[in-house]
Amino acid sequence: MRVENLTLEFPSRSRGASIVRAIDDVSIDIAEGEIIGLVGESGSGKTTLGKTLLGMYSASAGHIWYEGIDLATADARSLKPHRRDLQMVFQDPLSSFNPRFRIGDSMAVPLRLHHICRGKALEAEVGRLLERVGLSADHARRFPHELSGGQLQRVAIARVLGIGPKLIVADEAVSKLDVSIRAQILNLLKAINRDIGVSLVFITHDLSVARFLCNRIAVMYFGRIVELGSTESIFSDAMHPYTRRLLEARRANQPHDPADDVTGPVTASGSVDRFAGCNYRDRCSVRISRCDRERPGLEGPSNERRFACFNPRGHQEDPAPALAMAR
Amino acid sequence: MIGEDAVLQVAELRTTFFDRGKPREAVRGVSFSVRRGEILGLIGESGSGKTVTGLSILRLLPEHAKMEAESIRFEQHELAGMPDSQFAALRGTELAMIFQDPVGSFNPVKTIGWHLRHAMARRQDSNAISAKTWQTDPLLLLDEMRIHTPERILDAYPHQLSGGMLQRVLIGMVLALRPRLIVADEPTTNLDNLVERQILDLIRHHQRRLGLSVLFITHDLTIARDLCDRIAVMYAGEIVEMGPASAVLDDPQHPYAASLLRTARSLEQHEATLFELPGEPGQDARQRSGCRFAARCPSVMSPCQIDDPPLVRVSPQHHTRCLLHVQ
Repeated sequence: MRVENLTLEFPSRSRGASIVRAIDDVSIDIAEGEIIGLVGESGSGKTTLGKTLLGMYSASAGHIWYEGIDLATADARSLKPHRRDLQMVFQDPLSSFNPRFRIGDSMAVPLRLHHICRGKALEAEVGRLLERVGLSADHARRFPHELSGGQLQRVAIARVLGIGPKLIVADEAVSKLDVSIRAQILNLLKAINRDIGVSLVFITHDLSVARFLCNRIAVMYFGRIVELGSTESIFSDAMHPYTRRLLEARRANQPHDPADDVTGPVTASGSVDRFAGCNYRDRCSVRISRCDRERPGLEGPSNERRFACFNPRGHQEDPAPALAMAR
Repeated sequence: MIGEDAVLQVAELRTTFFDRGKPREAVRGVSFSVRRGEILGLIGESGSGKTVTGLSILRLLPEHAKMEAESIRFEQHELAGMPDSQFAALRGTELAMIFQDPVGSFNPVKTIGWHLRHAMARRQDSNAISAKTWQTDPLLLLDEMRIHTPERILDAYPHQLSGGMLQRVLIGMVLALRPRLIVADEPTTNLDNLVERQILDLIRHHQRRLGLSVLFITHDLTIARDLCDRIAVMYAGEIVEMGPASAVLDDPQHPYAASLLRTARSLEQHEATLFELPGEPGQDARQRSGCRFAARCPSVMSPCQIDDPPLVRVSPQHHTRCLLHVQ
């Protein structure tokens, strides 16, 4: 899948601004079989991006190329054959199931819908899928409320696997689970990716989880990707000040930075002018004068290693050499 | 168990929920104490009974739950058996609680300023305190909660503030009550990492400054390590390990605590496969005798199925509930 300059705008409900740009000029390639992590704080647009990739929101501009068609502009008829390739696993498994359906019936719906199997074979397939995710075929007879959150998340994964997707978007799929269950599900996702080569877009706010699971990481801030690179390079050599701030946040005794408060809705629409200059400049400790005038693009030494910052690694501004160079 | 310096001393607390008449024990004979000026961490996974323990002490249980205790000693008061009318005067003044979801603690149609003045007035009614020890100005209070430009907050309504900001205001309100003991139930679970750190630092700062005692309920081991002086680990309604934070987290004696830490460590150290504790918490909840953890325990022995393990002392301050340590 190749995403090009994807933008998604919503009409704004707050006074002052007329639109909210939830996704702002995002370009990213998702390779076959890779696990890419979308990380960022709440409101950074990571969930919205994931949903837009699957056509749950229609993009305002840009393209999502997949198998030769543009999902962003395609009509329902041309999208249909690709729907089964693109699937989603949600944060709260309980709300992804009809409480009146038995697990087996919930799982059978997509199998029937996509004409994968029916009758006797259907039951066997449901059993096989449940076993694939570490449950037993008996679970098919239970109701959602009889299963724990971890078991239900396994069922949600099994249901998605049944239709043979090429890309799964997992939205905070482990963040509501307990520590011991989270480890089980993370191991399961990794094994599934390894065994069947399905691509995963893994949305999380937890960097250590992303580090365990993902091959590449895209850091999002205010609807934009601000840094993109291999998991290793993000952790060993973060360029964007926001990425570095997120990495530091895992350590105790943070100096309080009042600039972090600008995420609060009281100031968000007012102080962050999102159409000129760098979105992050109000919180940035290493901003330079250029950040107020121009918006940094996502650039870097290679397509695989990019960041949107004029002052990567955060050197303090020293005006003298810049002047000398200008002359 | 612990001497004179305890602010809260709980002995044999039992809380039972009645689900259509059927009893289910959520807390099964828990005993612990919170010393003056310390943070005691109550850690465990969902369903372990940690939140119910906190709610029981504050008498905030739903109607279908029944709580009994040999004794709940709070300062000079015996809470077990105290009439509700008398208890109501303590709750919200000497004994306070911070909840996971700050939104629910605010009246949506009243401003932040109204809430703060209300909290301050409540404390002044119940006890004469000197102006020197506590602020009477809401602005100063907000400033102490490290809220940038507090003026703009006073006239705001709760829905206009971010979760982190609301939690700061709530902590300010709780501190304005000048409580002797705060029960904090996962106060940062819904917040982003950066904000979470700042809130924890804020709690720690004021706790030290005021010499407060805190019962801090969390499922997050990293938070427990950074914040707590002592830790009690709960499993299936019982405390299975209790001791100084460093002893419990660096040298856990109970197989459950050891497994949890091993899982957390395998994530921190980026191991290729995470350590998994098999099974689900609560799978053995209905079991009548023997160790509640036996079915999942990697070191299970035959007597574990029959004998209730006692709380054994492994070092002067460190206790564990496991037959492995019974001589």
